[in-house]
Amino acid sequence: MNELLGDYSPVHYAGATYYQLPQLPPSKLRISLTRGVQTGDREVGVFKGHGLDVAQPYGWASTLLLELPDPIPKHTIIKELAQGALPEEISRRPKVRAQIGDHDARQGILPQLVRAGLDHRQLEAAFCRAFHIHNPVDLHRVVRAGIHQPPPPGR
Amino acid sequence: MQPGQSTQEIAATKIEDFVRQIGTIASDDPGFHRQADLFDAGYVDSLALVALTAFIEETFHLSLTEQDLFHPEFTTIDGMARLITTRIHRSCTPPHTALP
Repeated sequence: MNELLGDYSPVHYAGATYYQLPQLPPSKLRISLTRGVQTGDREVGVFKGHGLDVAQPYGWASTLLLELPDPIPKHTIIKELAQGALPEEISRRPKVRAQIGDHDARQGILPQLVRAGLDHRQLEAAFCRAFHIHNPVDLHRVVRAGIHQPPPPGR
Repeated sequence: MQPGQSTQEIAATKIEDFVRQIGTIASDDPGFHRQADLFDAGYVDSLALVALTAFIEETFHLSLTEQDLFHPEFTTIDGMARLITTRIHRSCTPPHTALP
């Protein structure tokens, strides 16, 4: 849902800016963000890994959601889609990014990584090891603009 | 647009100008040319590619697919221009004269 509505902004944490976004109008940014979701299983894969089948209901309305004009009244859209099934405080709650975890930034993955001293280079190296990409330069053959494909064989 | 310029040349010029702008590439950078692999050479990263993709789609009124982004031609300015030109010509070709 966040990708479909472009509900993202860079995160400022510990003196640095993370998750920077390209300078694009929201309508174009939403399309790019959604492309990334469509090619991966990051939304449901972690659950599948534990034997749980998960569906992303907003995906069924993705075409219509991407056609919405900017600016997107997210709260109104969620309320309409839920048709009264969600309490008002849920649809109106302030967004807390999973990467940060909570308002004190203690539990999210970003604070954990920063505290552990792991930066993007080390994460890239770990990704390469996990997917048997022997030359880090080849990363861009696997991931481009948030979209990914299987590593080329024999590299 | 200069008289006699081909669609491919125009496309390459527009893409080169855009990549130079978003990549803040020096005008005398010897490694930057239209046959350079923009990804291998580090002129375009994922963030820049998102902007470039949006620029191409808006400028040339076409949609790029996920496969396009990984197409071997889509690594150089000239290759991108060829892909765009092919796509434009294909969309202008009447159905009864389309190539198999």
